Amino acid sequence: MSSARQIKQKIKTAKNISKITKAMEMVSASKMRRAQNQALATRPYTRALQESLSTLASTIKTNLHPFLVSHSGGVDVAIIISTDRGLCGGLNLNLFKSTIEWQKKHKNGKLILIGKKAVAFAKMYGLNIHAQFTDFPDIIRTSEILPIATIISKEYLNESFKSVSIIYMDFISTLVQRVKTINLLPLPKNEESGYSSLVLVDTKSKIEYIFEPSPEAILDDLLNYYLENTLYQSFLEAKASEHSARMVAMKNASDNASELVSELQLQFNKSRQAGITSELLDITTAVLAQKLEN
Amino acid sequence: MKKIILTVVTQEEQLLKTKVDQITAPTVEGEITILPNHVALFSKLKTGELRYIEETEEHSLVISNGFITVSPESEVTVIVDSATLDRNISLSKAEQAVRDAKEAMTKTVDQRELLMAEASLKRAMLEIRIAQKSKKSRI
Repeated sequence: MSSARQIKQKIKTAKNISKITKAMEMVSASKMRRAQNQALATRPYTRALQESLSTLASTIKTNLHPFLVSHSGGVDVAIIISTDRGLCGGLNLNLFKSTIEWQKKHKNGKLILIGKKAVAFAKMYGLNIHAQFTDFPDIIRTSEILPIATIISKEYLNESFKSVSIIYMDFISTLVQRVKTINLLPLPKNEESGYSSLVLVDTKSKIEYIFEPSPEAILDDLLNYYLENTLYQSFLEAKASEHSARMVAMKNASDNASELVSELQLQFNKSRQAGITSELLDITTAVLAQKLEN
Repeated sequence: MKKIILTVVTQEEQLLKTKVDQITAPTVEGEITILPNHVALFSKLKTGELRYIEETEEHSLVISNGFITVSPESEVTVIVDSATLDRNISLSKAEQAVRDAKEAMTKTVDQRELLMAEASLKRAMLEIRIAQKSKKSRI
């Protein structure tokens, strides 16, 4: 049995750790709330964009835009949205599992990596990196994702990218985050992404809209916005997932630490009592021995 | 009297949803004014000042590039990158932004950054102008 002093040291360490994890849990909780609110706040924008797209779809042939047509040249590309920091449980692990699966399906596929964890992972496995972005702030603004949107739309239009997908952790609830893969380009036509509204012919299409300048120019712009918005939305989801995963991980860590402390405390008390008992024994035997001598 | 329902959404949030009497917006083809029962319209917006009259009081916002749709039911939706209400404009912040942008413009040689700085300069200048105007009208 380790001595009382050693146990005391261990208790102190465990307590310190639990203090740190508790603090980290609290920080993540507040960041999580903010990230969730932000993810919710962008919904009206997304809805407005989709409505506008369907209005446009009713007036002109949308199939002509390069974003909607697939071509054969170029490579497949996936954008992996991971975190910059660790200590968030199995979040990144799940993400990387799907990344490997994706890579198996697309042998020549290239990756655009977001977050230090993804970069480290890709380097370890020798994956083909096209670009990497790290150190995103906790509050993501649209200006931060613009470079990524620019890269993908440019490379897609000059046919060096065949398709672009995003792989990220979708925020379902604080306890559940799931890997989600979105096909970003060419824009899918029949999926639940809300984009389906484009192929459906609007029943209200009899309404004559005036377009300024031309419908084609507006469509071009609108699709660019749509691209950015989809990207932005997945970033927000990923952030919300990250913070909630970290919060849960830290909560588990603090729970484990306090369990450890109570276990050690028990052990410490036992060993202290054992010490007292043996000391008492020593004293009594000594006293008895003296009495016998007298 | 019939009113227009004005909705302003930015990428980050829904900024405004209110009933108004008149809207004046800067489109790429020039400034337009929308009154109730306007014909259905779909247009592109450029950076500038969007004004609306709500119960005889005029308000304005600074908006960046985006779109405006006017539905036949007199619902106006404004979709923009970013927008600031005039009562939320901070004069000191805008002035700081002007200084930063000017400094960035003298320093960088990168075409892209130069364009970004120019855009933010334009925006900040607009904010200052609108802030000063709304202050005057209050006095």
